[in-house]
Amino acid sequence: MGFTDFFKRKQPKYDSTNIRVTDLDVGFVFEYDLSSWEVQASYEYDWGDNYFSKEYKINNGSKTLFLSIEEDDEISLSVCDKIKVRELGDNVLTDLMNLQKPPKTLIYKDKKYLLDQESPGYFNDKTRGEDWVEFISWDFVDESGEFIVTIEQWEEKEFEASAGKAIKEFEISNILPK
Amino acid sequence: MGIFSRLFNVGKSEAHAAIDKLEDPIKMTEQGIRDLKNDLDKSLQALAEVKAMAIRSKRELNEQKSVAKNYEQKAMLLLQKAEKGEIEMSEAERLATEALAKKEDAISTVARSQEEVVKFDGNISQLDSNVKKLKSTITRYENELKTLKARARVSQATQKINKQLSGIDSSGTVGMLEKMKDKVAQQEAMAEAYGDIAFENRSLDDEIDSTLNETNVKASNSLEELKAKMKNKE
Repeated sequence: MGFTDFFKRKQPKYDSTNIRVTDLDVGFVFEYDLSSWEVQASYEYDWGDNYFSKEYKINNGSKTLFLSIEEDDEISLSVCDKIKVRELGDNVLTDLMNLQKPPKTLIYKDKKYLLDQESPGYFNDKTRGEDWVEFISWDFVDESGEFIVTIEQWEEKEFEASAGKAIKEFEISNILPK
Repeated sequence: MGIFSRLFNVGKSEAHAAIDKLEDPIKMTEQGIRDLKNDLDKSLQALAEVKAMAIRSKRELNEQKSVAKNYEQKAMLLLQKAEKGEIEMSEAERLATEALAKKEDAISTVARSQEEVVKFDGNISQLDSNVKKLKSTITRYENELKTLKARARVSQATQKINKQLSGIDSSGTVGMLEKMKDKVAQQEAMAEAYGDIAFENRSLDDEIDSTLNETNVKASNSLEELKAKMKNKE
């Protein structure tokens, strides 16, 4: 730290009068779905070709969800909850284990989902500062395109799943910094 | 009044005049908004902290509710086992009593967390109202500053144009044109004056020479020739 840095006031990275969802970080609090949520952890995904996305683990005192933020030409947001792969159907996990491939369609909570894309990438837990971990993600969407199911493969026999929906930026409000 | 106090007053008035010149209302308003934003940032952080504490209290409340329910179920199971003869009734009652004591601990934690949630909710609404006021003040000031900046730009431009049009501004286009006009008029006057002086300075010899210059002689000769020609014809 230089001598002049001593006198410099640390400025926040966000505009206090207009904190956006892209400014979120661990410890931030916001309103969503008539409840206050605290950001507990921050994750980063590297999808290659210099394309990154972020994910936050959020908790409202009753449940924990995961908020994904993708910034391309516009901001895409989704809120998901971890589910058991078994909930996606009896054969899905067996097929994943044996064939190492996901099904083209699946049924979750009486809703039909179609395989949308396969995305190999790298994951980093920013809060823990862990190394990047390689994984594959398969995204399924319903006919409306609003509801999403994701299956992730971390090891040869390790699979995780989450289900949720796409949300609009305005649904997240009153963002407060740490 | 003594000379020194008068001198001091002069110095004071000069210093005030200098500071008045330094005081730029736009820059001062910008600094004021920056200060308000810092205050807002601190208020937002305080509000976030209280909201986070409320969320944690709610989480603890829910966890302890589950714990209380779990201990009650364990106590019931112990008594059921004793009824089935799987364990001694006295032992079952001892363990069930312990479980119920733990349930009571959990329930008191639930009550405390509930109180905290209510307290935090009160703090949140108070802080939230302050933050809203501060945000609205900053927005109002920022809008006023935008208008102030626009008005300052317009008045500066108008002042410049009016100065030029009125001819007060010697460096302006109108001033330059006026100067040019004066210069041309001056040059014309000078030229005329030199012309007059040159005419007045002609001597008698100059007049004679001028009368007898070659053109005049030639003209006189031609006149004589013409007179002779006419006489011969007669």
